[in-house]
Amino acid sequence: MKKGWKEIWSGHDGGEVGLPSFGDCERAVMDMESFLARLRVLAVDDDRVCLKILETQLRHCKYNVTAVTRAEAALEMLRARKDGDQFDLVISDVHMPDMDGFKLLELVGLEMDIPVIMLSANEEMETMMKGIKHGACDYLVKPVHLDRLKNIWLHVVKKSMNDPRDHISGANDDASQKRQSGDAEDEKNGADDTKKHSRKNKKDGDDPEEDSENTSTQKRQRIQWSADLHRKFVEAVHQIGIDRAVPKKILDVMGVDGITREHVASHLQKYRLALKKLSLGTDKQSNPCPAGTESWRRDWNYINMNGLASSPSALGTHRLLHSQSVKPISSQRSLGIPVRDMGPAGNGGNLLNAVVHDVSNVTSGNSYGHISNGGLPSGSGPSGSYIENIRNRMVLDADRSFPFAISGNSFANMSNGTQPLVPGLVSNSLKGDVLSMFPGYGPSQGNNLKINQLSGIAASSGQMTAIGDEIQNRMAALKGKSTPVVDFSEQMAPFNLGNYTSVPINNSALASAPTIRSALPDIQIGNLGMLTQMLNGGGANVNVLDEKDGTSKVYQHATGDLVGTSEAQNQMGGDLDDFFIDGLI
Amino acid sequence: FNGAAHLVRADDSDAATNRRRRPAPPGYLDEQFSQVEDLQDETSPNFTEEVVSLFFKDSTRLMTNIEQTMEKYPRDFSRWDAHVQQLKGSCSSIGASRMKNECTSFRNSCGAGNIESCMRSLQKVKGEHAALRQKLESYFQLLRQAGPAGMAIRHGGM
Repeated sequence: MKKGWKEIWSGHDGGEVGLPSFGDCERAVMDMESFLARLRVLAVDDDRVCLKILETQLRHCKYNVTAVTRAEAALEMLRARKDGDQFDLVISDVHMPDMDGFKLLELVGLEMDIPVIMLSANEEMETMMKGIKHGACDYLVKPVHLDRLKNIWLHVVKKSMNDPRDHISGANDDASQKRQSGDAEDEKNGADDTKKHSRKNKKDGDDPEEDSENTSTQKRQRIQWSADLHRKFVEAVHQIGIDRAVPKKILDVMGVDGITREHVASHLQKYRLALKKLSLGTDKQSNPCPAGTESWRRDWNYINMNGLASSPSALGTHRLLHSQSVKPISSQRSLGIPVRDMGPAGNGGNLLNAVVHDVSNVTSGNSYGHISNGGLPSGSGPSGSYIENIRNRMVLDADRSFPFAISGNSFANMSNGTQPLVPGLVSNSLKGDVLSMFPGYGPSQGNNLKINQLSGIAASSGQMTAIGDEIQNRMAALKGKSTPVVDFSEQMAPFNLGNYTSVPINNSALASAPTIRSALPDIQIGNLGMLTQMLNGGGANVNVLDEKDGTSKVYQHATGDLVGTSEAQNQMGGDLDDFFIDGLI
Repeated sequence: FNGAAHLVRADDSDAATNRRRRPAPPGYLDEQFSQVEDLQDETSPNFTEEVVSLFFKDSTRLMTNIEQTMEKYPRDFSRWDAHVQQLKGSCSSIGASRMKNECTSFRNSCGAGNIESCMRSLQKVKGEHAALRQKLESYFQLLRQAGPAGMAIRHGGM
């Protein structure tokens, strides 16, 4: 188990998420497996081959998998399970004939609010960015390695940690009652997406009356802006007039106990900024709500909720996150939360920054920390122009066509405590590969992502695909450390079965261990010395000791047919992956 | 005997990369194929062969699709491209690297709007498809000859 794993689990007490609490690592491992087995993953891919492989990979990771080839079918299943036994995570291909993957992504985010991981053979930055913009919590490029799937459970945990515990009144009955009234509210408001709020309302459903109990005891009580409360707020604002609405007046008009002027002030600020954002023009298609108030409200809920996210746990989670989530920096801006301006009343906002900043410091150094603070350029330091450009580009995109509802989603994810990293540079798979380009990269270099070099490369090559090619090159070279791949291929002759003398095949005929993809059939596992010798152009006859019956078999083979990765190489490849990940934490 | 070894090449590069390095024929299969084989175990003892056979079924259909599309929608490069992308995804998932490379080059041709090179690419893809099929069929045949014990040893290390 990696360090920090325990931190996540300790201190959690089952609660609504159903996470066990652990005293020690051993119990933790067993509970972990049962936790994973309870995680329901829905895999969607129209390609049967990909789907079959994905399904099997997920099963190997111990998840509880359901696989479908059609997005429509997936949606049906998701909708059918809204009242119970819902999936915890969706993994979906981007390009599907019956429904665009992005569309599915949006719908799942709106209706069920489950984390969605996008999958695609397409590794173009734009597509990846599009995925994140539409609310994907991660984007994996096919073909997907088993390793990438092992830790997807983190997305589930992150998301559920982001939902507020019922600190305030405690009783779940109350919460569910609130939900019912909350749902009723939604229906009255005529929103299509009642369901999407049912979960939120359940969490937010605390009455202001209940809050008042605690206001006196706690200094700064975080207010859950329930549907009801917000409605009162909006009514008050309109009554007073948006231009003349000051917190004090609003508070008076609302006539609600248990909230303070400060609460109203911060809420008002967000409201104003959101209105401003809305007036810039939103994507109507993905925002079915009138004036976006519903989804907007959900966003604020996320902000409030984030205040409750316990930092150390979030950090712990984030440290382990294998494939990182890509968060558009601009989403923060588009929601108009200029971090610095939050003022004393902005509990949620400040905490958000605190969490994000802390997290970013832990994982990848200060440059990201700066970026996460609302994209303020000061002291971005080595991040240089490349990241600034990306950020600026994203902001421009955001203003133009950033669907408001969706930005809420991504923002919500961001408020989970993962820092918004530069898209395209971010997913650990790519990051690991990119880092492999730098000879001498080592764990000691740790968090320093050498943004300079990255930006230099980006600038010179101009396109990620070119980088991708180069990366593959280096990676290959690295994988073939003991026997250079390039030399190898020169020795390569086209595949020719006929060169092998047929020898009675017995037990050990297929002696190669799965990790030895050697051309020498009778090599015993671990017989690397001989292997290397042969691979380096050894003779035509190979005498190999047959372990099973103790005889020596003779194989004839054509020199130069020796292709493939030795166990060492495969091992190396695998180890390198770990190597990179460790270096990143 | 491990026939697949001959099909494996250590790295997984696209055609463009090949041009820059010393020219060498890439392996038919890449590391991803190993990933697939590694998924085979007692609970799914024929997994690899099942996946491969599914791949050949579907990819044959896809290629026919592409051909028909090219006839029915002449010059509709983006439509062609969409189909090729599908095929490419399939190829990459089982590690069919040469075939995948040809798909990439096919996509490039579509992007360039070059009909002749698209036609050529199509033929190449078909060629790689056929070659790979032949080799994998032999491979599985040998595995079968080796019998269950052979399989056990192949995967026992995992």
